[in-house]
Amino acid sequence: MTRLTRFLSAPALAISVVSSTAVAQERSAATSEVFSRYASRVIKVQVVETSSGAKASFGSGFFVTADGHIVTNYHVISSLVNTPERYRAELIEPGGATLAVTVVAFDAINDLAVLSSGLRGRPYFDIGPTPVAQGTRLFSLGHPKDLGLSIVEGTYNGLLLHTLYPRIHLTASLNPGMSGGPTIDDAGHVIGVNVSTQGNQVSFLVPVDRATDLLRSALAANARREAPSLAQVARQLRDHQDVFLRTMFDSSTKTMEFGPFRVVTQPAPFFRCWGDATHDEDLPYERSRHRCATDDDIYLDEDQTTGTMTIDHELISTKTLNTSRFFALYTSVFSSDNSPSGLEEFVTSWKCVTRNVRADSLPMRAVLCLRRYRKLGELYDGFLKVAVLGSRDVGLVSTLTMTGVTIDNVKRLSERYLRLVAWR
Amino acid sequence: MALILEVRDGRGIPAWHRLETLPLTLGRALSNDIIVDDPYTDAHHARIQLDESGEIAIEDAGSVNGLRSDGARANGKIIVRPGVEVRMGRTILRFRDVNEVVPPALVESPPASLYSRRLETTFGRGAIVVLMLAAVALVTWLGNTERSSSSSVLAAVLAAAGVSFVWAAIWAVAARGADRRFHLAGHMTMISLAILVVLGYSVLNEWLTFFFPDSTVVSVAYVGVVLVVLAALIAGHLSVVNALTRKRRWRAGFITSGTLLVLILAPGMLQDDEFSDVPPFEGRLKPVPASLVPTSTVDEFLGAIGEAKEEADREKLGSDSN
Repeated sequence: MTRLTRFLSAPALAISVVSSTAVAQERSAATSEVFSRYASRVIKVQVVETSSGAKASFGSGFFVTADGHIVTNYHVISSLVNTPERYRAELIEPGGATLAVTVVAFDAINDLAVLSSGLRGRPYFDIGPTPVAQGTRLFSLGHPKDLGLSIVEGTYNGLLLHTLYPRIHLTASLNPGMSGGPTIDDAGHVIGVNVSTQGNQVSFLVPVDRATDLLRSALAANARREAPSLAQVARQLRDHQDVFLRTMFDSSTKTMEFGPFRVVTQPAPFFRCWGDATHDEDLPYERSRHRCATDDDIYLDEDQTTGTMTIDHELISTKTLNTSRFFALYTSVFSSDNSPSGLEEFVTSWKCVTRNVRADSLPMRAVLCLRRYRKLGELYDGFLKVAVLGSRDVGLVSTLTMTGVTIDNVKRLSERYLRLVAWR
Repeated sequence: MALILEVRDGRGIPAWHRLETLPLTLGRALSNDIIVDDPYTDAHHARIQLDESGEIAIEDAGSVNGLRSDGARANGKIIVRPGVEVRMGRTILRFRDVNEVVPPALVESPPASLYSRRLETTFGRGAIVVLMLAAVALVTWLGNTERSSSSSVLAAVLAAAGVSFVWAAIWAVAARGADRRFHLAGHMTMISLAILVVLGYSVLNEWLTFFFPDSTVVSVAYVGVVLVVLAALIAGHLSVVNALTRKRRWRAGFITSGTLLVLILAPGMLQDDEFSDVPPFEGRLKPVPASLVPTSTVDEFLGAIGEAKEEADREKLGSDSN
């Protein structure tokens, strides 16, 4: 899934605009009307390095108050939050003039931010709840690939069913650079904020009610005025994970049969699960895999996200390999690296403890690794990997990965997970 | 009192000459009574003769480097008595009493142990090399998981044979003994024995790390064993060519292997501070019946996470202060 922020290393592709059938002629008239009516409310947002003036990232944003507040995505201005002393944010008017803007509030979990430009009297979108039906024609505005303000037609296809953070599915060709721009109906009501795309006209929006909530708390009379920092991101992460981790892996967790074992699957609706198996006649062993992962993640930097959880089960069995050779295979599966990547800038190295553990009479080799975030307070990534012992010709390697969690959650979830691995 | 002259060349090899028929001439020329093969001596360097008082004396015959006694160049003649030492170029001339008492003969003892007896025979040596190659083949086969492992086993055996041969050949050439023989078979035996022991201990070490994970004792023991085996290997090579006494051989072995290990391990340990996003853990698994695995409880395991947390916190705080 590509976020729609144009980073200067992204390759260039063509933008898609409206189609050209006869029916579309009629529709394109409406599109051009929509564009002319609302284009002035959309501006380009960019983050610039203060010392060199080099562009770090850019996206789009739109005015939401008479005082010149702007809504955009968190990931458009994340560099500023990561290293405030190195960057500044500015908006770029259609005419090309730049104006400094400040970050007033952000919601890293839902990927939104509110900026203040101080520009009064500009036309703005009055955001609020708007009913919308499946199949409604919508219009996305933004700056795809730095090619100027553009309008893209799309179709509303409802809220995604199984995500942790709500997302609207929009069938449209959104492109990098349109992040933070509005997607509106033909009456100018904002339905969502452009956030990401999977290509092939599959794009996603943050529902407007999230933006409304953020704006309301940003404007509240007693709102905390603190400079944007990673400490806030940490706080948001911690508050948010308490909600969905409380019941994770409890006794009601779904399990499935996997070879001679019983393993966890689909721990919550917002996980996506899939599996595969090797059927190579030439190999003297069989191998199957079952994985579940959360799709949503929280953006910290171009190569560093957090707030994810994955489960990975790998089953191997043999009828022909002798015990020693089977265990050579088992060892290589257990030792292979399926941990999440990480940047030195954001996390420490992994620190691991290894033990042979007996959980509910099942003996396993268990490894638990931790690494700490350097700038997110007391948040860690946890990596638990177990191999079931005691059989000569069948083995299970099961991995649980959790990112951006407190140490208590690492312990609690690891304990529950260990007890969920079982023979059938 | 009869004297005998001991002539010791630059390499320390002695030769003896009786002083019965005087005068005697010494020098490099082949017409001398005592011929000395030393580039720092003249063709006619010195002469031993009875002087006016009837004493035996040695005198320089007009040479470039002269004769040195007690470190200084001698002017005139030197009276020769038992114990007198004179330097002629790089050659040492020592005059000794023919009735000097020599230490008694040593008793010849049978070869010290089974080890040296067996190793001395061709059969024993061949057996060790074959055993080593068989062990390499077995270990490779047991670690291989393809349907047909023969190619990797063959490759491993050839590699082991090749590496040992090259190692033994280097020793054979570099340490050619005083008997001017290469002793290649002996060197091959030594390296094969070392490989066998290291291979055997590596297998044992796998089981130890399986039963005792995260144990510093086990890791240190492994380093210790490699250190000792390497030292023994070097001592063994030196014994094949009979160089140095046993104590000196082992000392050379330990110094060399200690230095090598430090050179190899030090960069690795310094790099421990380098960042990596790959989790470092011992993934070795062993087929042990469930009841025989010594295990911790889940609580003990989770309690141990405190150590990992402390290490991570320390690294984070370390970078905070940078």
